Amino acid sequence: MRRGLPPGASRIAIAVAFLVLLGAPPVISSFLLSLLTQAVIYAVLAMSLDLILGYIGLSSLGHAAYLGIGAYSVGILATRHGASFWTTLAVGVVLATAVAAIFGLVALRATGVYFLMITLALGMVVWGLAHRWVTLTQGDNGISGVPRPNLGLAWSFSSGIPFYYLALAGFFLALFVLRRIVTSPFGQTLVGIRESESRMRTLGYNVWLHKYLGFVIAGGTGGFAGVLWAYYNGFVSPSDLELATSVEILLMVALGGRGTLVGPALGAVLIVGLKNLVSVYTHRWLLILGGVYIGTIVYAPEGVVGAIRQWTKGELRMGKKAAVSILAAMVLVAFGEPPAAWAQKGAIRIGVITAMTGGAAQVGKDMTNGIAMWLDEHGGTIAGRKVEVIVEDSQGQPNIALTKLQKLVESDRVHVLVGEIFAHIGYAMAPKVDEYRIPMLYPVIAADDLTQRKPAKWVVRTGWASSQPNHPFGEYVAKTLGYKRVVTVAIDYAFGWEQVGGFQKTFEENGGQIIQKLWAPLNTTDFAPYLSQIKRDADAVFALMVSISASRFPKQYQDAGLKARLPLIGGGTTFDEFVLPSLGDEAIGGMSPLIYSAALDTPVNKKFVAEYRKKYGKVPSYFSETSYTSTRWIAEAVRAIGGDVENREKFLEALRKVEIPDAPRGPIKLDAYGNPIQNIYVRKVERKDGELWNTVVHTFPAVSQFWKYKPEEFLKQPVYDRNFPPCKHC
Amino acid sequence: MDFWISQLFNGVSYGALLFLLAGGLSLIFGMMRIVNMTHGSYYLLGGYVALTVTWRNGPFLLAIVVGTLAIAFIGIAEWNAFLKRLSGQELGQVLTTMGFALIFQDLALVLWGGDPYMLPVPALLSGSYTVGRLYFPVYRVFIIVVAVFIALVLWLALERTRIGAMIRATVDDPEMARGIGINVYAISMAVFALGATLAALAGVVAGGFVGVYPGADFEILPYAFVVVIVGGMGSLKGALIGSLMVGLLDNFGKALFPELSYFTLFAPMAAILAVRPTGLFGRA
Repeated sequence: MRRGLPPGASRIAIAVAFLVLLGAPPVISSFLLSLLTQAVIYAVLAMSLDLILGYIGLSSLGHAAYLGIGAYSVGILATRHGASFWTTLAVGVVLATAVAAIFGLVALRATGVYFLMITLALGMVVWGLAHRWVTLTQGDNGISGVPRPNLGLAWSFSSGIPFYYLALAGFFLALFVLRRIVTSPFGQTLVGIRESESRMRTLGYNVWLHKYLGFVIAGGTGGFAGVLWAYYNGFVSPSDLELATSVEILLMVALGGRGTLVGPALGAVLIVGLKNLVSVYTHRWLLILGGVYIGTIVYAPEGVVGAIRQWTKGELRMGKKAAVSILAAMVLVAFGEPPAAWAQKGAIRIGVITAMTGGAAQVGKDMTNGIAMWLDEHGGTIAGRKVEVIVEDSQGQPNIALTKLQKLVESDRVHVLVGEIFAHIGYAMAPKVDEYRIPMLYPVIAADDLTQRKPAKWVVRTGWASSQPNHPFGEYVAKTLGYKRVVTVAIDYAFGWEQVGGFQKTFEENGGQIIQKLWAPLNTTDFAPYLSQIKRDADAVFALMVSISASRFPKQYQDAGLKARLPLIGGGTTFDEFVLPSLGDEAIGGMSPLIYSAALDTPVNKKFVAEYRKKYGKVPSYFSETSYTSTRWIAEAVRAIGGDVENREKFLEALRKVEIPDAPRGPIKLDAYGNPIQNIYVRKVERKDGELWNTVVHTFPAVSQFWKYKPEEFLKQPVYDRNFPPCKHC
Repeated sequence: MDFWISQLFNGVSYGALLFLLAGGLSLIFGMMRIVNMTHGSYYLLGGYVALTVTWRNGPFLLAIVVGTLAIAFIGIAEWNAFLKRLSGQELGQVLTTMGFALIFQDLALVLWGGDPYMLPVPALLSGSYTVGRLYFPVYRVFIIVVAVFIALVLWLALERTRIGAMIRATVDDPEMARGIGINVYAISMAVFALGATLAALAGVVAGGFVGVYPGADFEILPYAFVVVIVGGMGSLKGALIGSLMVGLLDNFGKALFPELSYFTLFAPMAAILAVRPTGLFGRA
């Protein structure tokens, strides 16, 4: 008895899949549509890798490089030179092809594990340039504000459905071209080489040239995917080029079935769906993704399409099992769209986007703790309406944050959003928030221009602006501490530039001199190369560190013999409550300014700290405080409009008018530009009862982001940057 | 001059840490050709286990022992359950070990939370030596001493003992080795465990220097690979020289050409590979 599928079934399946791809957009939610758009773009990338993996038979660990080259071509040309879609497309594809042509010369000298390792090194070269060549790529800030393409057609690609069809057209084009290639004599030769290189060589084929051409075509196609990716996201960042991305593309190809083109495309759909949909249900989605990696190799080494082929031939029952289980998983993914939150009609829904996994997971935890604590204290209701909080994990990645934003707004229909940690994600989200016309509170993101030169109407900042604490601090250091010559060491991205810039401006206006500026990348583990350059004739060192780097910097500073000679001062995050528990005596004496200190000696704050410790077993950080206060902020606004959060314009207006006289950090209200006017505390790290605390030594009351300057005058200067203010005394 | 001496010292001490991390990986590569993306996780987990020991008031030395042994067992389990079946399938190895790396990453987040920690080090190892105007942190000297010690032990074990000879024979030709009665299975498992142990040791040592924090696994992984490919797989000498090169290039690149700092690290690697695809001391 024949156990297989009827012949022709796969053709029918493919035809159905294409019809679904073409016909789905008007039917599905826009959240699913955005996932589908991402999936077809990734499908192009996966198919291009399939040319190397499936047809040449080599595993590459550097394929994300081509995605990055295409994406950065768009990012740089479209934002700085106003280049058109066709120009960026041509440059992206040509550049990726050219890079692949160079890399191929190096990589194809090896096979097997060696090929894997060489492509890894080459991929890291491109990643390293994206990450550190800050003048070209903006480094860790990424490039935001890439406009959607304008092809001079009647419809605009700025909305979801037309752009989906553009991406789909790209996908069909890539599929068509690659299919022509693999079915041509050239492609058949590649398969021959994969099966037996020596036989093909004996038959007189130029083996190397065939492999080389295949490698280069794959690179160019990867660049094409990168171009679409950058236009889809609207920004580019080094995270797209990480090693993990390269491995993920490999997984897509293996999961779908290498050497089949359609399989990898299917793999891309599965993985994009898995990453975005599973993380809606559980923050432990990484465990599941890890399981898929292992399960693919153990149960379906030939991938979905491979398994289906085996099934069609009636060869293996294993193939049937694998195919059925994977297809079932796919159906689950497709229909597993989170149910809209209509069940709880009448509740006020707050959507929270923050990192719950990855390097910044603890910041996300501090934030959600702050929000939960305020709600617990107030019976989980605001103005008589129940409150429902929906937390989404951005994984610290801009494109995931945007997808989750869409999910919260469109599927969950939240009334207000709170969230995020990183400035580049904040910049990427702001235009979307304006597009959706939904109020969003930024309790943490401090990028100056969000409330200065590039304000977003619907974003309400409840935290602070990067340079805000440092304006008074610069004056304090020059006048009160009396330091005249200061060296700065700071993390090399916008937050660091703005912190140093704000400090430098007022410090130099009060007679100080910045005599050296050193910049270390965000993920610096070893500060020795920078510490040993510090000019020894300074009076003090101003350091701006964040989270992990803050936890290791003071120790390395002390070990380098600097602490005894040059006092260490810094930006608020260098010594904030987030890192203090991981620091020792080396941090004592460190001075920094911030909008908050857990040691603040007011009854409100003492109560807040005591309650927070009781509940979560640790001292609250400013992340906890700003999120706690943001929740109260929402409550005040909701009360002011009598609970009518459905009227968004009115809600936004009320949010902008909120004044809180007694937050744990002190009195707060917004200025005309939407940034809080609040106290700035100069703090000194001291040991009290065996713990480190930021004792407040001076308070600057009611400080605005513009300090003592007139806003109009202040805004005439460019945003603080690596080279602004220039280092006159270096 | 001061600048060059202290940068040289920094580069060498960072290279020493990389040698601990990559020495074992190189042997694993040489013998089993296993591409192990979990190697960074051993480094991460080693640091975390050691941290737990010090939190329970265990001494630093005990933290090292417990941290490395625990990870050795994880390595053995992973190898036995999955990796030994995947010899010769690079794709399968990459994906399986990547799966484990993601699972370990998430479990670490569940078990230890996301806060960054510094591993407390004994007072004996804090502070710095002063020579003229130069400062040499004691802990960095300690890292160099540990690396030199491990390198010596490994060299003696490989070159002067019977087991070492069996390992070398298995690296050179596993089938011949099996043919003359060497238990290749046991030898492979032992080498895999050794690699995991050394990665965990690097993680513990690094815990007192750069800290223990989520994300350390994938941050350090490319460095380990680069050391191995430049030095040549399966060569201890290669791993040593590769580590020093990477440590120095990284350090001087960051100090002299900050904008191109990773380029100055990875591009010479690619150039070496273009000339010698099997690395400086590797054999195809």
